[in-house]
Formats: sequence, C-alpha cells, structure tokens
Amino acid sequence: MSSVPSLIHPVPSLVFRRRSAWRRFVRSKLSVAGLVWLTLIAAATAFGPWLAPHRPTDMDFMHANEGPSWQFPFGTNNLGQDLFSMVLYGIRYSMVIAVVATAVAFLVGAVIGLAAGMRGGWVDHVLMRFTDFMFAFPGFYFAMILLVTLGRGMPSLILAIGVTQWAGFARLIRGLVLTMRDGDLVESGHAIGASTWYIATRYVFPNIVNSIIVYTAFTMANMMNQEAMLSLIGFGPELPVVSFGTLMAMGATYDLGYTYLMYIPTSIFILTLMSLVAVGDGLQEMLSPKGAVK
Amino acid sequence: MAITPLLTVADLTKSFRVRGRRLYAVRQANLELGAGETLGVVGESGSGKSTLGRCILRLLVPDSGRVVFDGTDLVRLAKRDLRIRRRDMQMVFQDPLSALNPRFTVGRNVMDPLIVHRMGTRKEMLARVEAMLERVGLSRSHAQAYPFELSGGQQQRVMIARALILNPKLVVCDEPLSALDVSVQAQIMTLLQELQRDWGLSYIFISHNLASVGYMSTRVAVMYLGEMVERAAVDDLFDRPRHPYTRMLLDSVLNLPESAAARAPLVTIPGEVPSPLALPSGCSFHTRCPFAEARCRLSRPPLREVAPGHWAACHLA
Amino acid sequence: MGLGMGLAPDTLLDVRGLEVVFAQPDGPVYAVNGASFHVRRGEWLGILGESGSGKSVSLLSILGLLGDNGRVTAGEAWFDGEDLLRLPERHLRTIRGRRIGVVFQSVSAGLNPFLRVGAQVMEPMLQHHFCGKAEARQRALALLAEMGIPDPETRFHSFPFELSGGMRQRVMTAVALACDPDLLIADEPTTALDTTVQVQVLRVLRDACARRRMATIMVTHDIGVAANVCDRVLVMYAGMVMEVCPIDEFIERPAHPYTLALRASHLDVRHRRKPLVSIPGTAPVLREPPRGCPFAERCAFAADVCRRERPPLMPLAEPAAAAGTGAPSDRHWVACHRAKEVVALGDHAVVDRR
Repeated sequence: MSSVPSLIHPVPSLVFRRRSAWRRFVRSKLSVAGLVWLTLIAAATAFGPWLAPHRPTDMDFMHANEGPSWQFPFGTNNLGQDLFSMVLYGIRYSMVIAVVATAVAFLVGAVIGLAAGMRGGWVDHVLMRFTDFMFAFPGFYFAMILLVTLGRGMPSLILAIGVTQWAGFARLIRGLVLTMRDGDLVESGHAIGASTWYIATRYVFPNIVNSIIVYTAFTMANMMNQEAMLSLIGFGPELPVVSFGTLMAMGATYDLGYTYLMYIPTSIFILTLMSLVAVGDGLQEMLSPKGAVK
Repeated sequence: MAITPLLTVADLTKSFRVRGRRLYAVRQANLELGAGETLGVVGESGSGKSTLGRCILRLLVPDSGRVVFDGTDLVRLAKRDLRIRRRDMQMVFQDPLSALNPRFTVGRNVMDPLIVHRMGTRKEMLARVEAMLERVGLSRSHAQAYPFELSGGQQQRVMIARALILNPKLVVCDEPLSALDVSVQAQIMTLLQELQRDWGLSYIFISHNLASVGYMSTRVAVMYLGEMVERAAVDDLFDRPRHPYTRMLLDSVLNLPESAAARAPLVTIPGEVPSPLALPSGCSFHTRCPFAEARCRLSRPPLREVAPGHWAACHLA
Repeated sequence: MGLGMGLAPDTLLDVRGLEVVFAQPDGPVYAVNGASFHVRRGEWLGILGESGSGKSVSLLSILGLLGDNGRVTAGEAWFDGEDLLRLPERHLRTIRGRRIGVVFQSVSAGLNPFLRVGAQVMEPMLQHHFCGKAEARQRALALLAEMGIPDPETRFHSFPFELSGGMRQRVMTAVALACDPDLLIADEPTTALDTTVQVQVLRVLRDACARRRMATIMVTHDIGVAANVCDRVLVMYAGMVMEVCPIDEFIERPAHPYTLALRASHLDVRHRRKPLVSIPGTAPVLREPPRGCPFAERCAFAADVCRRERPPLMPLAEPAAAAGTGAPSDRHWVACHRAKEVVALGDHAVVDRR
C-alpha cells in the first residue's frame, strides 16, 4: 500500500465568535417588546387581586359610566364597576385557563405522540387515526357541546379547550420523534455506546425541544383566542367572574359613547396574543445553534 | 492473515419486513478481518453492504449468524456488555452533518464517547480531544465551532476524530467519501491510511466506488443483492476477477484514458438490479449475466474457493 | 479575455465575460468571475469543477434560473442571435424547455411526483404547442423507448416513485428532449447513479445527442466521466475558466496546474499503487473579486505574479512536433501564468514538485 506524505499545512487557529442566548433573543426588538408585555401580564395574573384598586363586583353608582380618571384608570361601566380592576381579574382568569389548558393539551399530546412515534406499528396506526380524527374535528363546536353538557365554569372550560388542542401536539411530537428515531444521529449515539436514556436526553430531546416550545407559544395564543370566542358568544364564566371574553362582550353591548369599554380589554388581549407569537419567534432564534454564529 | 482474526462473521443473515413481505438485505455473509487489515466491501445500492456494516457493529440485530469480535460473539452479547464493547469498535458515517449532534460544538461531539464511557476528568478529556483534533488535521480552536460551520471535509475529520477518540480496534467506514469533493476525498483517504498505519487499526471500508476501495483495501468483498459474490485479496480481485458481476463492475468504471483513442466504449451489461423483494431463482445474478446457463437459473452457487484465498459464488468461475 | 476565440458559423451558444454575485447575509459571494465559453451544434462540452466552482451557477444564470439572491452583474450569452441574459422572462420561457432542454442531478427537482411518467414527457410538447396531443403521445412513447426504458407502454402510466433512480433519470432526459431542443444542459446527470447504470445512461444520452446533432453542455465533478464522453472539456475553479480544450488535448496535454491536480487526485482501478496526491486546503469562497489567480494559494507552481495578476485565458502554443500539421492554434486555451512550464512537465509536475 502506497502511503503519501501528508500535504496538510498547519491549520491556522480560528476564532469562532459567539452570541449569548440572551443576545440572540434581544436581537429582535419585537421579541423583547413581547417579553416585556408578557411580564406585565404575568405580574397581573399573579398579583392581580392585590393590585386592583377595587373589587370588580363592587358597584359605585355615583361614578357610573365615567371615563378614565385617577380613581378609575380605565373608567367605569353603567353599574359603576371599575374596568381596570375587572381587566386585572379577567387577565388572571384567562391566563390560568390558557396555561392549564395548554399544559393539559401538551401532556396528552406528548404521551400519545411519543407512544406512537417510539412504538410504531399498530400502536402508531391506531393512535394516529384517532389523532387525525380529533385534528380534523370542528373543535369549537365540540367545546360548545362540552360546555353545555358539563355546565359552565373554569374546569369545563379548560377541558373543552384543551381536549381539542392536544391533537396538534401529538402530531408534532410523533413527527419529530420519527425523524430522529431512525436517523443517523440516534445511530451515531448508539455507535459510541451511549445508553438509550443518554441518547434521548442529549441527542433527541435538544433537537426537538425547539419546535415544541415554539408550537407551545402559538398554541397558547390559540387557546386564549378560543376562550375569548366562547365567552364572547356566552359560554364563558358567569358574573361576577370575568374573563377577557366576557369583558369584550360586555364592551360590545354598551352605547357607542363608551366604546373604550370594549377597546381597552380588546387591545390588551390582542397585544397579549401578538406578544406570545413574537416571543415564540424570539425563542426559535435563541434556541437554534445557527443563531449563535456571528 | 492473522491466525486468530480480529473479526469473524459467519452465516450472517438480516431481513426486514417491508409491507408484509420479507426483504433479505444480507444473506449468509461470511468474512474475516485481521488486525491492521482493511476489508473493502463494494456493491451497488441495495446490495446490502451498509446493512452488513451495521450488523457487524450490532447497530442492527441480525436474524442469524455469528459476529465474533476479539473473541466474543456480539450477536449474543447482553446490551450492557455490548455498550462497553463498543469502545473497541466504531463507525464513520457517510454524512457527518447528520451523524454529529448539531446542538453540540465540535469539541463536545468528539468528547462524547469519553463522557459516555467515563474516561477521566473533564480536563483530561479536553486534552485528549484537542490532541485528537490536531491529529486529524484540524486546529484546537475548531473545538468551539458547530459542525455546520465547517466544510464537508472538515466535518468528516470531526467524525473520524469522534470515532477514534476511544482508541478502537475496528472502524467501519460507511461510504466515508461520497459526500465529498474529489480533492477532499484524497485528503480523507490519506488521513485514514496514516491513522491506520500509526495505530494498527482495522477497517471495514464500505463504498460503491471501486477506485477508492481498490486504493484503501487489502482484501475486497463484492456484494450483489445481499449476497457476497466474490472475495479475494485486492490485486486478485481487481486484476483477475472470477465472478462476471465483478468483471462488469470493473468494466463500468470510467478511468482517465491514456489517450483520446483509448476512451471507454460506454458498454456495460444492460438491465438493473432486480427488486430484493422478488429475488431471482438460482444465482441472483443470472438475469443480467451474459454467461448464464440453465443450471444458473436452477441452483444457487455457493461461495467457494476457486484459487488460494480467492472465493467466488459462480458455477462457471 | 478569450473573446478572440474564433467564432465558427455553427456556434450555438456563446457566453462572454459572465459574472454572477450572490447576496448572502454576511456579504456578497463572487460565484462566477468573467467566464467565457461557447458550444457548437452537435458538440458535447463538459464543464468540470468541484462544488463551489461556479459550474452549475453559470448555466443556471443563462437559463434565468438563479435564485432570488443571485444576480448576473456582467456578461452576455448569445444563443442563436439573442442575448439570453437580456431577454424578458416571458420570452425566456419560450426557449427553456423548447429550444434548451435541462436535466438536473436530483430527479426530485425535475419530476413531479404526482404526475404519471407519460404526462410529464408530453407536457413540454403541449405547453410549447410543439405538436398535438395524439402526436405528443406517440413521441413520448418513442422517446421513452429511445431512452432505453423497457416496456414503455406500461411505464407510460407509472408514477416516478415506481421507478428506479436510473429509470427516473432516463425519464427526465426524455422530458428534456421532448421538443427536440437545439441545446441540452445536463447538470451532473449521472452523479447519483451506480457505476453500471451511469454508463448506461451516458451511452443513451450520447447516442440521442449524436442522432439529433444536438449540442450538449454537461456539468460534472467526475474527471472520468468528462474524459470519456465529452468532445471538449472546460475546467472551472472559483468561477473562472482555468482551461478549455478538445478532449485529446485534455487527456494528453493538460496545461493547468489545477487540471493536473484533479488528475492526480483521481483514483484509477488499474493503477492502484499510483501515489495519491491531495490538493492542500479547500476551494475558496470569494468575498471579493479575485485579484490574482484564485488557485495560487493551493498551487505548487505559484509565483509572485500569480498572486498579483489574474491570468488571462490565452491560447496555448501547439507542440513543436505538430506545428506543421495546420491544426488551428486556438484549440487549447489556458489561464495560467506558468502554463508553458506546466505543460512541459505534464503529470510529473504535481508529483515532482512535492
């Protein structure tokens, strides 16, 4: 066998410059703005009852139908209830529903998606036919039927929204697992003698978590939307409990002169949805190693 | 040939279920590999050469047969013991970009085998990684890079560093060149040969490219439709092929002609490899073989020794 | 720069001074840097180069198929009296697929997975109003048969996924040849195929081109393919033409150090002990137009002048022995300051210099 002198020259030392994860996130102004807004919303969710100057159910007929003032920052409605306080309580209610429903949908979807993707065969077949059925199902009407059957209230609202949303998670996670399972990367992990647990946590999970997180942000936006729509058409919580949807519905029924009653909660709601999407985009940028390269 | 070979594969068969039918990817393969040797495995797509490589490393579990590596039969080894055994046998993949972890830096990718097998402290591991990177023609500063930041040739060097960091005895190279440019292929082949010479590695070099197999190997096995049709020392096989398929493969290689008058006539035996789901009767090559006789359709020729050390599966060899 | 190449009357495509720049997020990349070449009717021109040499980009830009971030910044491409680089897309579309057929390396880029094979071969004929439906069907069947597809009547109704890689490549060639083009552009047509199938497909292609007196430009990275099927070979590196010459000159009298390096790194099944010489380093990605010779940093012959001045593409003098044969003196063009020394050494040049 002829062997040849190696002609490789000494390799110059190179500097690979890196951006930190935070710097990558910060690169998009929109994501930062979204994060700031979501922080405010999270604070309102956590401390809303303590921040609210009035109880949302307190009626003050002396100050009915007033515009924004120091005493009533967002004004009052025809019963003299403080809109600012109602919004704080509404955020809390809607966010809890969105977060819990997303968590439920994620858990159900992850279990089904993982089982289908890892096991394959008939398990995959049965689970995915069911998932496809749920995915194609008109979820909104299904939620309405559930609410009528189970009665209104937070638990049934969570169930009604979450139960129609898990199918998306299941399909996503199954697809991600499938692309990894028979791929070179997993085989490469086995080839060096790594355990299945090591491969799952260091090879598979980090490479699919990005897509899951981003999808979760979008799903949460979708959940809030569904909750609002259901409340808007009268399937929301009963007073005195308020949610975004009931607030928007309330605003919509008032006289034209008091349109801020509708505009303020609606704007907050839309800003929150947009922030979720913007933060989702920022996370995508942050989590991709390609983003780390200067 | 060493008296006790490093690797002995005996009657290895591997099939898959495809739409309810059995697809035999490898049928009764036999081979031996001595220390410091390179066995080239050559064949067209669908010949089962990659499956054979994966069965040898037990990345796939064969249906039957034995893979005796350094005294142990890998097929019967328990999962735990197998994982420890993997220190001595590694793989270089065809496409480094898909076999390296994109979330890890180059340094972490090369260090990973050390971490998995708990080989020393972080500092010791890092020193080994940096030395290894320099050994394969990269600089230690490449440790900070992500695989996608490197060129194809550099990625393959990282793949080789990862495979060799545990000082294995056997490395299965599965089409390690096919994703690379010609000039880079030459660099990688030179590197693989230097490493083999310095560390006494044994290679199984899988490729569809006869020229690179001829350059890298001491012995060569030719596969067709999951069967080993010929096996011999490299010069015997290339200069005196006994199986019609090997001859046909060699004739279809487009060499650089010596003169304009000596250009290849572009003649080859017609037809394509039949579907492995519908294997021909008798000799699986008889459908394309210009010398096929009645018995070729009826009985399957065994791999037999037609000259010392030269094995061919052909009635007419 | 090579514009003096005597234009024969049967020149079909004449590309002059082509420059292509890609806009990347981290700045421009100079992909093609003043490439000039031509192809005559009935001639098979091979463009040989490694990835990133600009060989595919040159052809894509002529066809108006560059992506959004690629831009032709200079040059002309005369095809039968029209400059393709200045034609409106609408007009170009009547030429692409009708007068210029294209075969890609990746069959997935060239065939529609949802259409039956027959319909895909008929489509360009119907689209360009080349002939009526009944005739298109007849022609499609004949083309499939000509491409060596067994049982074309049955295959006519197959979907691409039902065929092997070699068969799909034949179908794609049939699509490219459907409207009897004057020029066929084939981008690595056999790279993804097994060696035996590669030879079959090349044979079918060569016969089909000869039968039609069709000009063919084939892009390849395989020096073996180029040397065995082409009439003329053009070697590209860093978006520049390094050498262009008829096949006998290419095989017997290579004159550019890069061509020699490619030959040296080509493995030969017959000469397995031949020392394998690898070219150090990798092909450059040009962030600015090349100043000197782009190969200089990897070249064993490089002198100061090579790093300073871009070598023009110049005719190579005929060997002394052939001087009286009356052979045209502009058969062999090479862009190298030191071509005379290189051609004198031949293949020894690369090995001896190390």
